[in-house]
Amino acid sequence: MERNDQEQMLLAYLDDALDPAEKEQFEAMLAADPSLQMELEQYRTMSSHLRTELQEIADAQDYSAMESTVLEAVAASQQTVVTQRRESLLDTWFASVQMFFRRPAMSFALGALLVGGLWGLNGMLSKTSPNTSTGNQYAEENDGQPTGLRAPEGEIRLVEVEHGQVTLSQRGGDPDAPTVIWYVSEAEKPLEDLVPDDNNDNYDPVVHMPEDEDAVE
Amino acid sequence: MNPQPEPGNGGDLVSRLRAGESRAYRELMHTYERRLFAFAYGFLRQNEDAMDVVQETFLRVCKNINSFKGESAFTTWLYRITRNLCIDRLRKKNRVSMGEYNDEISNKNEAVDKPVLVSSISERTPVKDNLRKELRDELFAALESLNETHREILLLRELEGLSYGEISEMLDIPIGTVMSRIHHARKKVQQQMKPYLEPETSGARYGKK
Repeated sequence: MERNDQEQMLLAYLDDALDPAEKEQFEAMLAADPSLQMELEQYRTMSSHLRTELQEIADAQDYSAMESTVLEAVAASQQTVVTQRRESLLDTWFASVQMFFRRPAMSFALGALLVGGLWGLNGMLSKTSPNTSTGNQYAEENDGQPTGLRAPEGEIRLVEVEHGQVTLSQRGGDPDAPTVIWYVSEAEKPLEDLVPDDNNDNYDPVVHMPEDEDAVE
Repeated sequence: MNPQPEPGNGGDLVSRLRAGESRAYRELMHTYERRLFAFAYGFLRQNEDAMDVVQETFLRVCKNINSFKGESAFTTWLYRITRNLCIDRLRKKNRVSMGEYNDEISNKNEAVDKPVLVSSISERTPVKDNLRKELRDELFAALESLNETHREILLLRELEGLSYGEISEMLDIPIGTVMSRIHHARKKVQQQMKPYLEPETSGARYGKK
């Protein structure tokens, strides 16, 4: 075996990197070669000495300041992580909104929904206009019946007040009979003004029959 | 330096580090600070520099623990950080020896008388303490004379006892290259230290003139 190969084996032997057959072969060489034994011993001594010296220096250090610095940094980073998570949630939300509006169909749908919602809201507000509330309040106070207002064929009840137009239906009689709708003009007047009231000089409703649209005094 | 239990490939400790448990960081530091310091000192030969590197290693663990995927052993990752920091620091200080040998040290060794075997000065006496200090200086000088690739591989093998496979993974080089570099590094240090490693002969005493 050449010298170089022998050294390679020696170093591999030091690192326990020989297979069993190689190890056996090398140990046989080792037993027969005092110079090889000395070389092996020198390497071992060198390794041991290097390790011992470095470990002794490391053991002699005071690590407390370094540890404190690291722990402070860890605590600070945790605080940062919490903040970043909050910001990240907001960012995610904004990103989602942005993504949503980048899609034309979605934008159109949202726009349509918004317009529809506003239109519906407008309708609801109109239904709860002052005339309506007045009418409803009047109906509640009088069991749903505007007292004193008499149709030609009997008592009528309030059905709906919308945009100043009062729709009245005939009360009583056959419930299955078609409702007779009365239209009351004077759209700008509150409902109270439409109700016959001896103390109300403003009462001057014009009632139309839907069938003939003729005005009835 | 007492051996400490290792977290292996990360496992529970890594999970706790990711959760930001300060106790986990304490455990990490107590397990590794001395070992990393010894490694960094072998590289840098300066207490302050070595301590800075160890601190920066732990800070980087804190910062990058979520990027550790566990594909390599946690220890390997840790030493890779330390090693990179050491190399950066060496390069910044322009202290990297690019030569294969330090001629000054080689020539100096030629003038050394036959010393006693290193093991014979392990017993402590004032005289032997001085001798030992001298031996330590020579050993570190020999280590410093290695280029960074040989130095790091010698430290990883001799100090940390990492296997060829672990070193190969850490440095991302083939196992054959690992073996070759270890061989060359050992050989160089051994040649420079040889006068200190040979048995006492002809009544020669340890020491230099």
